[in-house]
Amino acid sequence: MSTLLPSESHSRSSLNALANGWSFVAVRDALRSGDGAGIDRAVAPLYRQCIAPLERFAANLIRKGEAVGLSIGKDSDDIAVEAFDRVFTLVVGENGGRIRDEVHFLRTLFRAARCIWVDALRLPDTRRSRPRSDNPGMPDEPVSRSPLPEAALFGSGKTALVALRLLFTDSDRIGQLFRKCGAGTRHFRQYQALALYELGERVRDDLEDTDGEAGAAARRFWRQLSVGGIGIAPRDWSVLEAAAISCVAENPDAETRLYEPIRVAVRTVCGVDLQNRDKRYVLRYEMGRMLAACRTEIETMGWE
Amino acid sequence: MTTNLETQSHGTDGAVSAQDILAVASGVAGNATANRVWAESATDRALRNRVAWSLPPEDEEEQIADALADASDAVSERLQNRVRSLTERFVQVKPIAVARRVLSVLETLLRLPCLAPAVAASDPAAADLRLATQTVSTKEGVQVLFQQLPPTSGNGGDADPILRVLVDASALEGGADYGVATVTIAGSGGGGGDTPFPVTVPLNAQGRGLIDVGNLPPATSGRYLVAVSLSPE
Repeated sequence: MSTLLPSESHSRSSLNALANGWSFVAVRDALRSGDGAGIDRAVAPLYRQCIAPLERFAANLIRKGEAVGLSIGKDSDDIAVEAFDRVFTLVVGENGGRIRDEVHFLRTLFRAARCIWVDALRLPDTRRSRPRSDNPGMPDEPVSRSPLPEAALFGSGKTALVALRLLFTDSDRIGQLFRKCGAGTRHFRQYQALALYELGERVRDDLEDTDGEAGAAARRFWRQLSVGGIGIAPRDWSVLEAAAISCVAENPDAETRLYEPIRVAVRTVCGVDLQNRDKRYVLRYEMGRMLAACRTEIETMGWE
Repeated sequence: MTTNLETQSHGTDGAVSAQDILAVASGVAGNATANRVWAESATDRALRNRVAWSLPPEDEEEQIADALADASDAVSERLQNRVRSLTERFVQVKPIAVARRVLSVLETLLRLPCLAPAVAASDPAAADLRLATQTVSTKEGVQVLFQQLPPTSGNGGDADPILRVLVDASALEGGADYGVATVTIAGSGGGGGDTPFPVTVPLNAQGRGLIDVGNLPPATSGRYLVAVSLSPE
């Protein structure tokens, strides 16, 4: 999971221009040693190289946010200082060893600036996390009698995430788990169809409330999770994402109670038709049983 | 409406922190952190907003290039100072060195035969004495125990006896911070007659220690304990 983000080529990055005159290893070792004089020696050239561009980067973020009505209570100096602080904390922590070189450090520094800007943004606080189409309380549809598990697919947290990854990367193992717990004997593609539909519907729901930059961020999140985290093929995800975008303003089909563009996209991608909401609930129930029965085993696999 | 930072997600393994999100956004998060961040944010819309906006956009490289393209590298003095001082947090404060401490001790005549003048030491009664102890306490509660040990075997009857000096500074507040005690023995008054000789006693982590001293210099007059001091090393 540590390689969720696509590997980035540093060879042509503009950050190379800032990677001279200081050493990441020296900065890291000095910070870890706690020696004040050593830290000063190691970070002084880093500051000289980076502070001005980092401050400008932060100023650009602030201007960009203000242009779309997103203001923050910090200035670019604040962000630059906090970015150094946050990335130094990362370096001395357990994840610091995963920073490979100067360019990777600089990229992390600029991303820290972005994270600080994001933390200070006042975004609309929409806490709804359950898809609307999944809400049995919608006025124009009957209450489902399907045996819903207590938590929806993603409600199972890390267990669900690991299971979904297995579903798309190691179908043999996920099949063994289903057989072992007696939760279902279907072909794994049936559950793949369920997972794809659930993901597509969540993208659709998130995009329904957002536009512009926020919409792009939402798409980035789900793409990163689905492709980098779960292992869905990028091309398949593009098909699903396009379907989700196309039905943002639509309601579920009156007969199937599913978003038709997403259902069609799922069938195109994995060759399985989810058919209707009842089948979706049955699959989700079976998946939920498997997650509950094999929780420990799945979480152990998550560490592999 | 709240800032993004004010929304936190508390899963079974604790809240997702700003540091966790940065680790994921920069691709350095371990499996446990990455799993937690993605799983929590998949179900928590507010956290998802935070993570989504923190992930690098497609035009990140362009944004960085824009920031680098500006030829002006002028940085305000305020910012320079703020950046310079932020690393202070990472400096580990080493324990303040303990100053050498001279303890208050009354000059005390040491009555062990080995410390007596040569004339007295030749006294047959004293020569028979093979083991004797004397304890002196400083006002601070540090105890110094002198013990005369018989000569080591194999040295024959002419060998000098051994003086064992034990120091116990454990009862002194901060006594364990000291590494060495120096016990100074001198002739009467500290200045008259024989040359003072300091005995250095290494102390353990509890502030206790001992040392055996052979080849004691000959004394022409009575020997006194004149000073005890403690130092870090």
